[in-house]
Amino acid sequence: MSTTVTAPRGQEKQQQEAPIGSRWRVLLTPLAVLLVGAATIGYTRFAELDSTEARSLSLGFLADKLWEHIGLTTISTVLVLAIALPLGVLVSRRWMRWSTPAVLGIANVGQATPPVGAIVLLAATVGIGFWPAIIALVVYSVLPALRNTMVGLQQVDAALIDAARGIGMPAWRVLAKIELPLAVPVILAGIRTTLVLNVGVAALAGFIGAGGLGEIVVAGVNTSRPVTLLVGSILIALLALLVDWIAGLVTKALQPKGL
Amino acid sequence: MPESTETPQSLAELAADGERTGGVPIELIDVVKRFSGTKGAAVDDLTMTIPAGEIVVLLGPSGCGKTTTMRMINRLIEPTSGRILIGGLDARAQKPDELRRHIGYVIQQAGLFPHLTVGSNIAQVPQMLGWEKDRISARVDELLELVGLAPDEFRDRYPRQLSGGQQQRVGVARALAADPPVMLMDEPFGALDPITRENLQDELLRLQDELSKTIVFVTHDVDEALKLGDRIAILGTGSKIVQYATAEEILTNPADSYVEQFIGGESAMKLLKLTRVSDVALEQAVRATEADSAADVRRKLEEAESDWVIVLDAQDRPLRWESLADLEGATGTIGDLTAGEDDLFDTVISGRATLQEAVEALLNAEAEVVPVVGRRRRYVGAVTLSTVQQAIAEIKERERRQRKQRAAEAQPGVAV
Repeated sequence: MSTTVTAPRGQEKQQQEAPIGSRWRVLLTPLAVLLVGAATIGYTRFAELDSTEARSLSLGFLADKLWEHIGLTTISTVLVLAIALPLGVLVSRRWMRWSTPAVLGIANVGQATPPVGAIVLLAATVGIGFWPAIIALVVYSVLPALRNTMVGLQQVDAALIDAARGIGMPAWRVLAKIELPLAVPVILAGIRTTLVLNVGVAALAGFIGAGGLGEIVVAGVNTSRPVTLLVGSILIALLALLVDWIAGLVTKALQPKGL
Repeated sequence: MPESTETPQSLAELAADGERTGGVPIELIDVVKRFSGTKGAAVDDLTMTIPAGEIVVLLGPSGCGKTTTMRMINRLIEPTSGRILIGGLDARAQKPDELRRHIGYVIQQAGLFPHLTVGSNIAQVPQMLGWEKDRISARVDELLELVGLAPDEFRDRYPRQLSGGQQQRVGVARALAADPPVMLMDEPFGALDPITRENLQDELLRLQDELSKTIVFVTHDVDEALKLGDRIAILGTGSKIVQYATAEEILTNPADSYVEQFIGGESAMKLLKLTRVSDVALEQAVRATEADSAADVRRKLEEAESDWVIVLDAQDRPLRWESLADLEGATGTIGDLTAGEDDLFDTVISGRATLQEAVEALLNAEAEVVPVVGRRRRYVGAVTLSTVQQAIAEIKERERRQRKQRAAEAQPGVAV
């Protein structure tokens, strides 16, 4: 009674083909960012600026600050991941489950602290500059990454882990082959939040002389130059949008197949 | 410590020992499992032997400890005390992960890894055993074929793209990957619709015919237990064995009212359902092959006082009936006769079929006789309505005798 079963063929195609038009819609965000960015920069080129404004809106200065901002965001994000991923994995092991509430509680304190407060506190205790700002950023944004790592691992179907153990997978292989790949969507969502958050919070680093686009905003405020302030803010917003867009693409690419 | 002696020290060595593919016995000796924080034991001093190559069903209400019992065999749960021997080897003396790679494990809803393809799901255990790529992919295709899924079509699909039944076929293939001597199945068909469930149960029996694994099967479905189990252990609270016997014994001779209640009524119909065609006396028709001369066959028919001859091919597979009338005046061989349309078989039944299915086939078939085939479609006999009738009568008679006997035992001194 050997029956060879044929599966419905249509199913596959439906799942793989994205709705019409989504290809060019993907490019909408970077196009808009480029357009607004070009318009902003263009304005600083052609508008009549006084010497104070011209100094803080020169192309070289903007590029420097943009680069610093990207550096602040990238380094803090890498550090956050280096802390949150292993810690999240560790506390979601069966023999560490008891510690979950405590870890989340501590991480929550970080989140509840206003970033300005954290930055100023650190500046007062550690000193001003790049690294205190990095520490503040890490403290502030480690939670979403940590929480999403934990939640991502927890939502993996217990029956799958049972099946994996039952066919003789050692614990590390269950983690690497089953738990982490299946947790990837949730973990990536956390990383994406962290990244975008860090772009915004990194702007506050300008207050303690850590550089970044925040410095342009601070300069605008200090010198009562709304144009400077506006350009700085717009650039920060555009960077955040762009980072979110890139993170979205990466998320899509790393999404495990078959889900 | 693995020694290079003749006696294997672990299940891995036992399984790797040449072409040994059949099952090994499992012994549970005074096994107790107590979970911390609960009153009483989940498994309370259980001793049972599961014979090699048999399907043993652990049947009981939910919470009776049957799944716990099963999970102690592959050490997903460690017993509080007692010993478990698999193929005569202590399970505790072996590394759990290595032990489990040689114990097939099938769970409800298959538990396939959704992010891995069907092929990759099946390949997990061979990968862990360090097989070479070519060997793994050949094995994957072989297993897909075995469970009735076309390899080219299914190998690269993801579990989500399969129906529930197909998923569980893959689940069984994954469990069989390293050709383990033992399979543990935890309510594998529980979440499937009734038709798919029946199909897969039949498939499992067909597979078991070929593979003869030792299968421990957990279910709370009485009909499933009766159908699949060579032996059924009916468990009460604390995994206490209330009755451990064949399905027939349990139906005709339930140990106590608990078993009777659990099995439910209609035991005669259930017997018909679980008695296999191969277990009853079959009619034996005169056999012939294509190469036999018609004259010889006619003589044989006359000797046997029969009107029909069954024509078999070189592998003893039934081809068609020929009547005495067709043979009249025929010269040459049987193969020379032109077969009429209605001579060809539209129905053959397997020896694995139940009497109930045989009756069904007889009622639907044009002929009064339906040939029965065994392994590889080899002809083993034929079944008629009177064959079935006789079998029913025998079962009833046996049941009556046993009931009387039980009554006599229950009331000693009272003449029956």
